[in-house]
Formats: sequence, structure tokens, C-alpha cells
Amino acid sequence: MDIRLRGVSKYYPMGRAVVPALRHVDLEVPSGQFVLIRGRSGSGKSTLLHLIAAMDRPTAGEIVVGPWKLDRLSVQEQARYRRHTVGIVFQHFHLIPSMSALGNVELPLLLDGWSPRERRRRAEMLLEWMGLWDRRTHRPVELSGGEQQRVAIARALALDPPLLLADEPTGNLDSQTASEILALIGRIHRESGKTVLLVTHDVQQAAPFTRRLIRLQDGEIVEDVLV
Amino acid sequence: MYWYDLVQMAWNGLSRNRARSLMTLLGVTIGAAALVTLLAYGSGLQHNARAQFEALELYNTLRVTSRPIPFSGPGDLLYRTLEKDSLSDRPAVALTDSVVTALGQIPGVLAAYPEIQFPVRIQANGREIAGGVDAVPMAFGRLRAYQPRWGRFFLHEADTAIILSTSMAQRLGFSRPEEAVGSSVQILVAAIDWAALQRMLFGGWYLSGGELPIRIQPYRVQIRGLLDADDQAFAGFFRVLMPLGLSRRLETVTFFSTVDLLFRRAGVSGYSAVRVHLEDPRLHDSVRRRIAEMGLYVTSFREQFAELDRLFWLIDMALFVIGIIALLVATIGIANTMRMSVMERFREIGILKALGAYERDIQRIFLLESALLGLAGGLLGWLIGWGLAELIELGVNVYLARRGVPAVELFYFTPGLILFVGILTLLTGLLAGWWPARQAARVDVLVALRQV
Repeated sequence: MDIRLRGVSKYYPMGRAVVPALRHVDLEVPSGQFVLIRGRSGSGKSTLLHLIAAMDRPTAGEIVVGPWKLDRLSVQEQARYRRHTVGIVFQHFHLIPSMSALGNVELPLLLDGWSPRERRRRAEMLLEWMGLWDRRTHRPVELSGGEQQRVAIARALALDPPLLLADEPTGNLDSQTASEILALIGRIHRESGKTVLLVTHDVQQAAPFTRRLIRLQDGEIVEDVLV
Repeated sequence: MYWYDLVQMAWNGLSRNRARSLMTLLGVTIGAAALVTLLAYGSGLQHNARAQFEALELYNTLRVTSRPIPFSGPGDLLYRTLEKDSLSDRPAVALTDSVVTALGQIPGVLAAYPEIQFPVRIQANGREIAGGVDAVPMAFGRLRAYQPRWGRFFLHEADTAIILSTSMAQRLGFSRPEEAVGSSVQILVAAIDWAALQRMLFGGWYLSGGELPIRIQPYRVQIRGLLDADDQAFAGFFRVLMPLGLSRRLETVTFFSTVDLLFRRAGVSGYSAVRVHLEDPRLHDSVRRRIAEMGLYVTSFREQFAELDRLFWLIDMALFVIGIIALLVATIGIANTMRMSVMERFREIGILKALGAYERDIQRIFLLESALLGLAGGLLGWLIGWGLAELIELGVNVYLARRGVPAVELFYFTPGLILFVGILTLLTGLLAGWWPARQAARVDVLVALRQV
């Protein structure tokens, strides 16, 4: 699914001051591309991802993802867009602690009105694919960081969205596990052809899977290269 | 989202902090139980009064007097006695036997009979109980309410017999109702002591020894029948039926109520009041009109009951307000619990929204939680209120039974009451949860997800 940003800016009010998070960003990502986004803390990487995930609105500019004009969506349409178009993976996993791995993966399917049997089948299939079959009944607290992130990835893929956004998915993991998670994301991209936007500091480890590298600095794209 | 998933999620939300949910549920339960008990009590009062009216066939009864009765409803007595009533200045029609006969001949009248009521004491088996005599015409033998459960109705107008309730027979020491029927008992009535009255008139109060000119006159009568306590309601505690002919033969002071004493006026001879029993309650208005045309005054028990109904309505409202305050406190408890729940699950709400949950889904989950609390509390409250009412009623009836008083139904539960409390608690649950649910639905995804 194509992504197109035109003159996108995002400013956050901070007391009386206004802090720019993104400034006049123009970006085009063709469908199926794996894009690695890097930059220092506060450079605007996460803001960019949040805008593309329709979890926030730009202060100025236009964001178009496939048929969706994100800057014009109602709250209800934003939710529908997030549900069907975007799979999001967070640094802090954001799993629901009271639910099992299976329950967490079923959640998007439940929200989408799948029957209990259908969603159970789909969630089990995804967890098996992630190598977590024997951990499916465990709650997040009983899983390792890597396992939790794999559950979060399975959840992001539950409704088979065309776009996968990963916001520093290895930020809370050791280098060995981080490497496995990046490899997993690479494998998903390769096998499904989804558009992937990956924000990470682990450029070296992610480099083998990516074709394009974008560097942000002070809210602006300062580097955009194909590798 | 499917409804069963919403319910499941709501249930999971409530189960998460069980102690808090149970405490909130307890609050709603107590509130609902208070409301149920109070409303059932109000309903019971009304039900008992209605049952009493029906048992005594008062819906079919008109009371005819020479003068207007100076009050029309509860609490109105003092006001009307002070008011100048122009109608009372016109010549009064005396309630003589010929007038009673004329009243009895009005189409649609089953019986017209002078209102003869007086206090009585009944002695048997070495025991004595007090009661109030109601003299009734033979025509009442046709009415179901006057058909004894044991024995039979009076043989004739001058039958030297009385009809009691089963509970009175019990208090008189008859262990089985059959034993009482046909038994001879002594009744004591108050009669004028003419010798004492003479002493009083000629020698003054001091010489009469300061006593009223009243003596006790004994008579022997048979118990002809026993009325079922259930049919008699409260009246079964003291009501004694006597044939009209016998009551006229007895030497007794025939006043019963203070109203009779206060409003019996000089210059009007005849009976103080005549009761007219209708064949059919639908003839009420036409018979009433015919009696008024005779220059007589009619008090309708049915109309008085309508007044009483208004009083019951006020009592019901007062009880409802007390009950609803209890429920309101519980509602605040639900609102507080839901608010706490939203704050605790702030991040979780953010996750759901990030995954594409609609605002209405989030709102429904929290509304369902509060509705479940309200409904469950309402149902439990209903059960506890019902149990409590049964317990109180049992205690009261055990106490009354020991004193030979027929059992009473203090609390009256109707299907409408169950439905009303169910709907009310459900609505209060929804109302209490509405604002927290709305807040949950409007949680900002990014703000919620930043809460690690």
C-alpha cells in the first residue's frame, strides 16, 4: 500500500511554547517497500509513525495511505483504518496483562467481529508460525521479552494488514533477541510483501532486510537512500 | 464486536478487582433491598385496605344520614366542623323505619338496614374477648362474604345467635372451629342504667358517685357460624355479626363511633344512619341520586376509598423517595468504581484503541460493567428485600397469632414491582456508568500508550 506525505508538520504545545516534532516532511513509500527509519531521540521518528498509524493528526500537510486521506478522517474512520490497514508493533509490546498470548492475538479479531472459533483458529495459526504454540496459554508476565514481542507481532498481523509499522521493536531486548525479532520482521516482509516501516537504532542488524534508509534530524528528513 | 464478547470483556473488567466490585455490588444490593422492602410495604398497606373493603363488601355499600357527614376524607374532620354548611340548615328527613323500607325498595338495592353497631364482650370457656357488633339483615345470607366457613348464616331475623371469626373462636378457647358452632356463649352489652341516670339528673354528678349511668347487660346467644379469617382481614379480630331483629331487641346503647357521638344532633329522631347495600356496584350512581332526591345524605365508601387511595399514593411516594435515596447512594458507589476502573485501565483502553476499537465499543464495555453491577445488585436486592419482608412478616404473624389475631400480609410483592426495581437498578447502573464510559471512550491513544 502506497504511502504519501506532502508538507507534513507536527507541532506540540509545551506550555506557552510550541515544539516542532516534524517540519514540512515530504515522503513517498511505494507498496511493499521495507523502510528503515533512524535518528536520534526526539528527531521525530515516532511522531512520523504515529501520524502514518492515524494515532495522531498532522498540524499541517497531507497524508495519504492507499485510498485513505488520513488528515481528513473522523475518529471512527481512524479506528477502522487502524484496524484494517495498519499493524503496529511497539517498543513496550503493549500486551494486555490479564489475557493469555492467545487472547492478545485474538483481540483485533474480536474487535472486528470474528466468531470465537474463527479467531481462535487464526490466532493459533499465527502463534504456531511465531514458534509460540506451547506458550499460547501463558500470560505476558510469564513470557520473556522476545516472546512478548513475537506475540505483539502476531497480534499486529492478525487481520493481515497491508502495512506494518514497528516503533523501536528491539528497544527493550538484548542484542541476540533483537536480532531474532528483526529477522522475523524481515521474514514477514519477504513472505507477505507488506509495506514495512521500521524505526530502530539497530541499523547494522536491520540492514540485511531493508532496501531504503531514512534518517531524521530535528523533524526533517536529512537522508533518504536506497541500500 | 459481538454482544457476548462485550459481556465477556465487561465481566473480565469486573472480575479484575473482585473486592471492589463486590463492595459496590453490596451497596447496590442494600439500596435495592431498601427500595423493594419499602415499596412492598406501601403496596401491602394499600392491598390490605383494599382487601378489607372487599371483604366487608364496602364497595357496594352506601351510608345514608339525615345530615351531611362533615368530612369527606382523612384529615378533613376538623376543617369541616368549623365550616358553616348551609345545607345543614334545611329541615332534616328523619331515618324512620318507613324511610328504611322506602330505601330498600329503590331498584338495585339488595338491602337497606339501620346501622346498629355497639361494643360487646363475649364470654365462654372461662375466657372473655371484646368485639364490635354489626347488625346485618337476613338478605346478607346471599352474599359470599357473609357465608360462614363453619356452621351457617342466621336462621331468621330474631335468631338469638352471633357469627364470629375463627380467630375469635380460638381466643374464646375453642380449639377446633366445629366445637364453637352451636355453642352457647354469654355476651355483655352496655345499657343505660336508668336508676343511676335518675340519681344523676336529680342529685347531680356528685351524688351519682361520679359514675356514668351505664350498666352491663348479659344475654345468652348461640354461635351460629364462623367466618374464615382470610375473608375477614383485620375485621376478623373483633367483628361480631348479629341479626338485625335480635340487635333491636337487645337493651343497649347503640353508638359505636365518635363520629356518631359528635354529630348526632338534637331535633332529628330516627336512626343515626342507614346502610344501603347495592345488588351491583354499577348501580352506585343511580341509587345515590335516588337517595339524594329523598332529601337524605349519602356517604359512599367507594368514594371514601378513592380519597384513601390518594393518601396511599402519598405514602407510596414518601417510601419511594426514602428508597431511592438509598439507591442513589449506591449509584454514586457505581460511578466511583467505574471511574477508578477507567483510570486503572487507561493504558489498556489505549491498546484497544490502537488496535482499532471504536469509541462506541469502549463505551459499551464500561456501560455494560456498570449495568451489570446495577442489574445484579437489583436482583440480589430484590431477593434480600423479599427475604427480609418474609422474615419480618413471619415475626409479626407469630406475635399476632399468639394473641389470636389473624395473620396479616404486611408486604405485597407484585410482578410490576419486580419489573420496576429491575429496570430502575439497570437504569441507575447505566446512568452511573455513563460519564466514566464516555471518558474511557475519549481516551487519547498516544497519551494512554505513554503510560508504561
